[in-house]
Formats: sequence, structure tokens, C-alpha cells
Amino acid sequence: MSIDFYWRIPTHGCSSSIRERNSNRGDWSALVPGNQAPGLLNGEPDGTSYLDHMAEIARAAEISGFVGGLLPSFPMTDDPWVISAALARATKAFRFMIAFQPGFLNPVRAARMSASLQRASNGRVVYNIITGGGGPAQRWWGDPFDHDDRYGRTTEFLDVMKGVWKEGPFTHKGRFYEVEDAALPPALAREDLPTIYFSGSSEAALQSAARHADYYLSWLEPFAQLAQKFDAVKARTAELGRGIKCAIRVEVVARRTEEEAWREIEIGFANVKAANRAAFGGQSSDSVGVRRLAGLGVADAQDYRDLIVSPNVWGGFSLLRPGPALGIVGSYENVAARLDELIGLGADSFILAATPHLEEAYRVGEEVLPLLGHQAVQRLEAAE
Amino acid sequence: MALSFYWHLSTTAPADRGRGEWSDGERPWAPVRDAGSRRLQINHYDYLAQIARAAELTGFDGVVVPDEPEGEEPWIVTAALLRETRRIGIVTAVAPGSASGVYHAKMASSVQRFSGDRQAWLIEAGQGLRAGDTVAAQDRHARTEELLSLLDGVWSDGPFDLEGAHFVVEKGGLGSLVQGRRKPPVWLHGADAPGAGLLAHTAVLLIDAAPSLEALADRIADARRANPSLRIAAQLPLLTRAEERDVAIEREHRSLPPFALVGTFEDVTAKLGELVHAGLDIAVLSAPDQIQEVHIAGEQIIGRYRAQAAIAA
Repeated sequence: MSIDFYWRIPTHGCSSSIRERNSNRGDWSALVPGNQAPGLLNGEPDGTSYLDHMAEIARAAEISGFVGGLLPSFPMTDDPWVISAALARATKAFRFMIAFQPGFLNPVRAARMSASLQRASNGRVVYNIITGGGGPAQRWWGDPFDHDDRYGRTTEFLDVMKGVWKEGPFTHKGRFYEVEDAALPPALAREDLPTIYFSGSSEAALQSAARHADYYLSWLEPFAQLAQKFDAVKARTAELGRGIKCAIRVEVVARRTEEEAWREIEIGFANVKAANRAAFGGQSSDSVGVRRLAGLGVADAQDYRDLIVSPNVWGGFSLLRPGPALGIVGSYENVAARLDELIGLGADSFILAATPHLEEAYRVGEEVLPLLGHQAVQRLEAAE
Repeated sequence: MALSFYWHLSTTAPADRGRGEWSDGERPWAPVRDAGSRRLQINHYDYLAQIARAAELTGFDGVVVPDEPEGEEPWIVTAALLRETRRIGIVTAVAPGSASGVYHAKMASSVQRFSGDRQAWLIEAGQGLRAGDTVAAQDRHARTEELLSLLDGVWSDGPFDLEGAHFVVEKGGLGSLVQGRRKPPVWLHGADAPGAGLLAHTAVLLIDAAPSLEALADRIADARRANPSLRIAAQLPLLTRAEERDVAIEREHRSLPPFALVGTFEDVTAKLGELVHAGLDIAVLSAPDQIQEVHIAGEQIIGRYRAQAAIAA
């Protein structure tokens, strides 16, 4: 069985180092020494923008063997649809995994945008459908639905979107959407539906996933817990009639030696002031996944070693950059061995990330991925 | 103010004989032998990008990307053109019923950031149930107005709240994404007969079909009473050739509406002068076989018009 490896496109700037929590690649911080601040030369607009840096990351990912990349969508990120359409012609094989919430778009429009983007990119669109989240962020987006309603809506959204695309003229009158004789023009309709990555582990989420999703996507969690979750997802979706695969989103710090890798974490941790740890350690959200990670006590740690959850798994990444807490730290062999372990526990696909995303795409693609499939374990055993 | 020129960038296959399409192998000029590998390298967007670049190279101020039921989706076309063009404005058709208010604004923030503020919006007020749009015809103006208020409100640090009949947002605001960025100027279709409240939010009124110069002048005067700074655009299908006889021959192959710009280069240039005299600010030109007609329009009409305007000044 082949495993798909995606990279991540940082959609709100990137940092030149995991040691510093800043976005010095991008135009969100001032032009100071060490800050690339694309778009300005001697203080004047120079015709480039952060889009150009994202293009370089996508190219680095396709050059180094990733099948594509996730484009996350948060209030202060650039928009994945716009980025993807703009970069479709700047890349050749890179698949655009577009994060979006059903509340953003009408399903007929979503079908048209997706099919047009399939045409512009020669079929390189992948979805990361997000239903969770909620809380104040949901209302920032202008979306007032509560949690259980949102999965019902996701299911109906995908029913309508697929219906319009593949079964048009499509008529539907449901709880959230109403369409009459909706269809795509023939040139758009013959494009393939995107592969769907789906998040959410509640029963409502799994019912929706079993109907529509191809991959269940989780952040990295403690391995045993993740294995249980994957087993449950695969069993429950199979019961519901359509078993799905599992994928993990995880940040890595991979270096020639384990010691070098931990040194990055040690410095990064030291650079976060104690006062900021509470603010950076958690996120405001009602999602089940976020609550699961909040129990790790990130804010209380005095030493980076307090946050080592298991061999090569560190629980303080949310201190170093916005996002989930757990990530993998170690030598190339260590990281590959952990990924192998996760494959053994049921992972069928990964979305990897490392800072800085451009240079690290090469490093991870060239040094870590080729070791997968037990080579890493053999090398580690030989070294002992 | 000088007349600006925009090209109406049609994205339907019939507008350009399916150029860049390699999917069905029915085109006599397509080398069937390597259609498969071509499809991976060349597609319709290569051709669309070429039209936009041609407009840029021949002196147009911008392109209008319409929302055609048989065409490509306009936000995707817009974003696909960002790195293909440098200077021209891109007027994207925006359907208020197609996305949440915040998401419209969010997509626009990225387009402005990546394009150096080159986007404007052309509002497609209502598309009906075929587009999954359930809002009744009589409520469409109110919804557009609400969308434009929301755009004003979130194009800021916020916090902006709106509890409207069609859109909501709580503690909204695009903050650093839009700091120093131009909010997309809004174009409205004249055929939608927007009222004074809507026109106040509007940069450009696009007159879809003007029956006569007098009628055009009247409509412009009416609209300017509601908003004195309003700019007026007109949709003008174009057929122009060097000589009368060429025009007549070409006309046999084309159906044209009564308000189309038809005639020799000199005729059409003179007619544009009359339209400007009636109050026109922006000519939105259109024609099938776009790559050829963009060049004729840019080289012969825009060139002539600007040369004459320079002499007159």
C-alpha cells in the first residue's frame, strides 16, 4: 500500500527558524534585519508578494517528492482558493489540499469553483473539509450554527455539491440548502470530484465522514490514543457502509542527530517567555480535538523536557508557533521510525510540516522519507 | 476624465471555439496522437491568460471576468490571472448568494494582497435556485446593500458586528490582511436598477444596454444625482474593421445587439467620443474570437482614441 505525503503551506507567513516565534517571512511584521518582508524593496512595493514565497514552498515540496500540500484557513491567513488558483500554473504536480468550512460557500458555488480549479490545475484539487472549530472564531466567520447542526450541514453540503457536479440537473430541498435544476456545464462536470480529507471524531462527524470522506484527518496525539481512535474510526465507518482511511497532520524537527534536533527545541522553548506560555499553550475553540490536547499542561512546563510525551514526541509545539501541541523530534532515522510506527498503527497518509517550510521541504523529502519502510529501524538497531 | 477601456473576458468554450481544450479529441486541429500528454500541460486557462495578457499589452485598463453559467468560475479565473498579469485591473463578478459575506471579503483580501490592489467587484445580484440562491427578487438589493456594508465593516481592524437579514458577523475585521489595502471598488449592473442607497456604495454603474445616446445621457444624469462621483461604464459589443466593406462582410457572420459598436476604426472612435460626451467613463468591449479582437480593439481603437484625445487636450 502506498502512503501519501503532503507538506504544509504556511498561509500566514513563515519563520526562518523554529527557534523564534515570529512570521518574518511574509508581510505581517515590519521590515527589520532578518525579516524577508516580501513585497518591499527600500520601503517601496517591488511587485512581489507573500504569494511568491508560497509558490517557492510549493515548488520545493513537489521537487522533493511530496504529492502536494495543505493550505490551512484561519481568520488571519490568506485564502486557500485564491492561493491555489494563483499557484496552479506555477506548479506541475503539487496537489492543493484546500481547507474550508461548508459555511463559507454555497454548495453550488463550491462545485463550480472546484471544477474550474480542477481544470486550471489538471485535477490537482484535494479538500480538507473542516466542520469543528466553533466558538468565537465561528462567529468571526459569520457562521452562527452550533456544533451538532454543523455536521448535519456538512453532510447536506456535500450531498448537494456532489449532486450538482455529477448528477445535474440536480434538485434538492433540505434543511440547509435548496437548489433547483442545478448543474455544471459539460466541460466542468466531467472533472473528477476531489479526494476529501475530513476532521472530527464525534459520532455526528463519523456519520458524515462515512458518507462522504476518503480520509479521516487527525493531529498527532499520544500514539496509543491515536491508534484507538483510528481503529474506532475505521470500524465505525465500515459499519456505516463505507470505511475510510486515516491521515495524520504532524510537525517534525529532523536533524542529522537526535541531539541536534533537541537543541532546536531547547532554544525555541527558552525563547518563549514564561508569561507567554499560557497564552501560546492553548487555543480558544470548542472542538473536541482541541480540548483533548489542552490537558497536556503546556503552560506549566519549566523545562522543555517536561513536555516530552514519549520517545521523540514533544508536546510543546504550540509554544513555538500557532497550531497543535504534539510533534516529532529526532534524527532522520528517529523521525522515519516514528512515522513507520504510525503507519503500523493505521496511518495511510501524512501532512508533514517543519519550519522554515521551504528549506525543510527538501530536508524532510530527501533525508527522512527515503528511510521509511523499516530502513530507519534497521539503521537505528545497527547503531546500538 | 479620460475614457478607460476594459475587455469583457468571456470564459465559455463557444466564445473561443474551445481553445486550450484537449478533452474530447473532436477538434480537427488537435493532434490526436498526443492529446493525452497535451492535456496535462495545456488547458483552457493558458488561453484565458493569453487574452488577459493581450489586453494588458494592447493598452486596456482592465478585464471584466463575468459569471457565465456555461463558463469558468470567476474567482478562480481572477486568481489564476494574478501572476499572469502585472498592471491591469480585474473586475470579478461576485454573486452575493454564493458565499458568506465574510468569505467574499476574505477572498478579496488575498486577491488585493497578491495583485497590488487590482480587484474590483461586479455584483451579480441574484442567480436564483439554479445557483442555490433562495433569496427572492425583491430582496436582492437589500442583500447587496448588506454585503457592501459588511465589506466596509470587515475591511478594518474591527471589531465589527452585523446582524443582518442575510449576513452576520461578530467581532469581525480582517485587520492586518487589509491594512493599507484598497477595498475592491464596486460595480453594479444598470439593468438591476439599483436605488440611491445602493448607488451610494458604488464606484461604477455598468450600463448593460443603452438604446440611444439620449437615453444614455438621461440615465447617466439620473445616476449621478444619486452619487455625483459615480463612474459610468457601458457594455459595448464591438465589431470594427478597416473599411466599410470589411465590416459588412464580418457582420454576416455575427449577431449583434442594436447598441453594439459597429463600423470602421474611424467610425467607432468617433462614436466613443460621442459616448464620452454623453457622460461615459469606461468602455467594456466584447467580441468572440477574443485573441484577435482584443488586438484590433487595443491597437486600432484604443490607440486612435487616445491619440485624438491627446491632440484635443
